[in-house]
Amino acid sequence: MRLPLRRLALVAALLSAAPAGASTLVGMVADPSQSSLTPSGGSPASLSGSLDFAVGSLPFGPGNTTFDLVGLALAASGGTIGLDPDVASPGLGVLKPTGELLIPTLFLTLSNGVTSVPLALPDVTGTVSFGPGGASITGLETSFGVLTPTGPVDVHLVASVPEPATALLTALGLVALARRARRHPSEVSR
Amino acid sequence: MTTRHALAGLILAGVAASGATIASCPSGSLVQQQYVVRAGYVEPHTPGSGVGGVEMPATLAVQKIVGAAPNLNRVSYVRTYQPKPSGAPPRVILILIPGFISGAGPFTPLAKQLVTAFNGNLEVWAVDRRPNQLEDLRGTNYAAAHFAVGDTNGVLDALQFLFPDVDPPGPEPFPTGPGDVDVDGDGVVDPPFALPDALGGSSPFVKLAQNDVRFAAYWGVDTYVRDWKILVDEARSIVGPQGLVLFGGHSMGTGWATAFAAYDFDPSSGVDPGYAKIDGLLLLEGGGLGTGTGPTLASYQQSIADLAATDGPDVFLSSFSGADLALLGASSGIAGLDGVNRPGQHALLQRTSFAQTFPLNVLFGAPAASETIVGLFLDDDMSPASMLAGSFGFSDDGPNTLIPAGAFPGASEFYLAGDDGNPQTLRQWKNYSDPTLPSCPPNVANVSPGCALMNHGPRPLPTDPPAHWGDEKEVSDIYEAMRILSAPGNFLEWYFVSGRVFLDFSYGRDSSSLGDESLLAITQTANVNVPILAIGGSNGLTPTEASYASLFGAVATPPADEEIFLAEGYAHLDVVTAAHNVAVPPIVDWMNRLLQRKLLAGF
Repeated sequence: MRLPLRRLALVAALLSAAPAGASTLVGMVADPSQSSLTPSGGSPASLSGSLDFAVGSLPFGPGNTTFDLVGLALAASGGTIGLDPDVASPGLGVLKPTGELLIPTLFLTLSNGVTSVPLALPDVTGTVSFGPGGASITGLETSFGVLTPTGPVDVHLVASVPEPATALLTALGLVALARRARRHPSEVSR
Repeated sequence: MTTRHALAGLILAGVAASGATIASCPSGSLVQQQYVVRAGYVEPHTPGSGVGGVEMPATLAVQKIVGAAPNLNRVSYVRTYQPKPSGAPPRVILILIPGFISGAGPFTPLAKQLVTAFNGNLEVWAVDRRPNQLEDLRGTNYAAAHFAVGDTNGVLDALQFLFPDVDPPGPEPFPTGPGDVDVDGDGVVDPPFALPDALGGSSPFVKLAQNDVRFAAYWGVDTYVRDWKILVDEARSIVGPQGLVLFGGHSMGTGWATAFAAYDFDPSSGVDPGYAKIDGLLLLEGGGLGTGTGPTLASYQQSIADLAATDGPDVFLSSFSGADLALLGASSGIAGLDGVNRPGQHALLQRTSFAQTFPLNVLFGAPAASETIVGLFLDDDMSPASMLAGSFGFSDDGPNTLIPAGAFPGASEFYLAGDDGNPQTLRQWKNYSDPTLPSCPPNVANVSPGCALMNHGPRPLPTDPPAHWGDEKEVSDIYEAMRILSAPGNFLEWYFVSGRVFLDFSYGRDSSSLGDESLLAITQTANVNVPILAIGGSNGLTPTEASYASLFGAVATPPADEEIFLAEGYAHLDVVTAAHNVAVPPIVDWMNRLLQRKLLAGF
């Protein structure tokens, strides 16, 4: 699949800011056959796209670790779902050694191609699956509901780490975008 | 809903959460507010404490406001929240302390934006300090009820409740004599309008005298922080150990907030520090408590005894910038209602004796529209209290005269709105978003109409002395401010307990020299180690990094957890009243990072 520019920029920013070995980047692809948006009383709409997580430490130490959603490009029903660009760290999460994840507030932006709006989702939980020895992450599954003015919508997402070819494309993008990411320092200073 | 509309539904949810206006979901409709009253710290001298031999009585005047057997040991706050669909509690509660003579109301715009941003995962509790329960709100409430049904005569009755007709002795028939005031214009000297009171009778407006509030000699920092500890404990019980309880304040409220963090709640030899109960400090346009030198214990105790004695020194602040503070607060409620309900029309407040005597007769010298009256008091360009004001727009349809600071007590530099000699011409107000607000250049500051927008030069270095910088912005909505003026929590603290509070604050951030922690125990400043986010306005009271250097140098918070965000062009009040507050994203990010840090310990 084609990686969106924003996703690469986020990955580049993350890697350029963090000391080597401080976190592990995990890119995942949603499985459209298992991922969906389902309105109350309606049938599911397929959900596809990619997600990038920065994981604090793998394999785990004695406690929880950070599990930050740093890139998101999902599509469904002709619209897109991404991370809220107005929030500096829109997808900060925590992961237990058991694989339980929690993003206490996930700050998204939704777009139908014409209108983009922010949406914060409280208490996004899910489960992460690990590779052998807990040294890698292989996939995740999450479900949550969103109450809309026209009724509730259930979101179910199943994603997994793709084949190595995607990783190569990511690396190429990083080289091109690292310089661009450095041009946007935070306004928050000490 | 059909499947293809699933994302559209999500987008609608986003629109609603963002506060944007759509046909089926009005702006802010998901965010709710309620005024909450809780049992507060039991201060023994306070009416209702039940402590025999110590409890002081409530005077008849106080009883007319709060009832025959009041318990004034209460703590109140305006809760801004948005229920989660799951019914789960929020993960973050932010408790905010207002500044000098401020009620809880000015926090409303910021609170709504923060709650909206977190979509229910955050609540804001804006504290209304305990003296606010002494405000006689009958006039405001009566006016609100009559505005709601379009009964202007009822509104005039409410004004006459506060400010009766005036007919000084003299040969001229009313209302043509010098000093005559005929509020409702009926040519009759009406008696003071009375309304039902808390004793079941009917009485005119109750403005408390100093001797009505002598018990407030015991409403010092100790009483206040123990009130707020009750709220902190309640907030902790809601968010749990993995949630965030954040404490903050605006302006002088940052002093209160740092006092809470530095307070030792154990009056004996142990230490029970306030900072251990919270997860961070949010300082809005204030650098917290500074240094001070308080009196000896004997002198301190004598001062309290003097404040508590009948006819002793003032226990509350009686005037602000030359105006009676309680009357200012009372009139502001009706002025706000007038502005919301009669925009563009001649302000009703100008009919009253209050507006026709110094200093309001100077400030409100020109016939003005209802919004203009509010703007002339709240705006950073046109209020004599401009150093405490916000950027609510401007009035440029008449002569403006630049008045230097100090022209009358407490006044800072401001534009005095004059009239054009035609009594039928009303000075109108341009709101913050008006594209024609005057800027300098091309205008000149000391030539009418002057400037709403001007440049204050480059940003000083972090080590330079604090100074204004950057391009001024107009960011606060006068209509939202007018709604707040009459809402629960309102804008002003009518009876700011200056006597004991200023005595306590004279010690600054360390009261150790007092030597009696049962009276005052700000002793833990050097140990405060929680993360701090400071928000300053480049046109406010804390415009640069240097504004926070003293506090940051006094606490134990690691440098990595001392953060500053400076909002260019914002005036003192704007950091809480701005309609689209640029401080919201950094505050959201700060809270988000702190929450993750807590959750790493377990969830």
